[in-house]
Amino acid sequence: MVETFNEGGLDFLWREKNKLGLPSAITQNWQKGLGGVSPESHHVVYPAKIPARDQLLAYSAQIAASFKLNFHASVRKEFGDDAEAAVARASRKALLVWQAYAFLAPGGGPYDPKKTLREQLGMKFGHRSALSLYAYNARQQGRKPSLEDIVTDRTLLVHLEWFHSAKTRAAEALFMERLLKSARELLPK
Amino acid sequence: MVSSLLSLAALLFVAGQTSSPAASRHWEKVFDGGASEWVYAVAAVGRNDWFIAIEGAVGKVTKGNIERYVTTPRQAEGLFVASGDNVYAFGDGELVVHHDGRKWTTEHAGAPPPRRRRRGTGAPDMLQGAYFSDAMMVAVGPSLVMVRQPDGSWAYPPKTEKQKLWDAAGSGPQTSKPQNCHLAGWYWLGKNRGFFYCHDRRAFLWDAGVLTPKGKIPRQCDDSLNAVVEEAGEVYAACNQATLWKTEGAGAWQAIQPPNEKGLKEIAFMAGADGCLFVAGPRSVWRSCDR
Repeated sequence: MVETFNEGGLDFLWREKNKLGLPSAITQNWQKGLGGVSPESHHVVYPAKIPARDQLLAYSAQIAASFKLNFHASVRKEFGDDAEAAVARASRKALLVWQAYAFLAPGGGPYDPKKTLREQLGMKFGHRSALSLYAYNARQQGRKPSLEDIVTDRTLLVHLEWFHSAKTRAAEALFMERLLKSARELLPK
Repeated sequence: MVSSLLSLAALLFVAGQTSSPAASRHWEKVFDGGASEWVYAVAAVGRNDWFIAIEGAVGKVTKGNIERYVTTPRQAEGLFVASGDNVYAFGDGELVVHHDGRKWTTEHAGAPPPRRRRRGTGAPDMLQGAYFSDAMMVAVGPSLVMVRQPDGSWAYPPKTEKQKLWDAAGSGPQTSKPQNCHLAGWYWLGKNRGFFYCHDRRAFLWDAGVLTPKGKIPRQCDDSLNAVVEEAGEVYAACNQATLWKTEGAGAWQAIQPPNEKGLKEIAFMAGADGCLFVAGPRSVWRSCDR
């Protein structure tokens, strides 16, 4: 068995297990993890103890669920009527970054324009905070909000660990995808 | 009017445990960490004798006075009452601190922990709690297992034993579950005594092999049972949204009123002793006594 907080970073897998769309034949073999409080957030974490063979499945399901549930709800909250069009227009590259960001930092409060961005950056600047920032910027510039902003952003946000990590993960995914495509071209069908 | 009352009654019936009124309790704040003193664990041996793990230290609280014992650079993550006079704190850097009723001593410490732990790296040096395997005290963490020796030193168990001890820490003894129970969570309550619940929410007390059904845990606890203690023959649980529950005999769980503190969203730790219940939020501890 693997404990998903200390050996994987899935802090809330036990709490989320029924929202992942996985059959109970799989999740019924999972157990509550050791729990306790996170040294980073000082709040309770809800990891699970899962068979080692379920790790990939758990990660994929959690990433998909965070994107489907949290991210789309956040876009609706922050982009309002422009949400659907923004998602439809977004490039695969941008969506991969947002998917990773929503997985790494599923929450976050709205961006507060009365404070500087530097003051607000940190653990609590989750994906919703970034969406809120881009919605605010778009309003200021008199344009529609865009999910592409995360790809072109060169502001202070580049120093945020979530942002950096999300971009790295998206780059790795795209790299692996291209590598696989090239390798498949070489292999007999 | 009658029909709307009937509808309300039906609604309350359907909603089940969540809508029954919480039993009132008087809570007294016994520790306030202010803005920065985070609580990591609590344990109690008496109404006026209890223990706390806070940032960089452990403390024994007697009638409101905290006797602190600094553990930095290690952080105590769990407390364990072995007996009235023997309380242990466990933490990273293989920390084992013992209070013998009079003073704190460090019984064991490994290499200091990394200054900044990377997420998901296994915390191989961390201990978070303990239990008794027969007469042997076993301390466990996410992957580390250590066993207290008769001379008071701590040792790593042989590889063949380690997995068995680690499994029993989180899942209880292998023979303890009823049929068709897919174990969801296990909590050691004392020597040869534990509490567990299944994925279908059935709960049981386990006492040296004898099972006592404890109804079904409340829905609020299904995926967020933060802490369990046994006090005065009943099981208490801290669950989602800072809700508190206690068993009423074999079947029902009764909601009990949590501390009335603005902004209290979670109760991470609980302890019980001498008819008193101690609960801890992120930076505070409250006590409520039956009499």
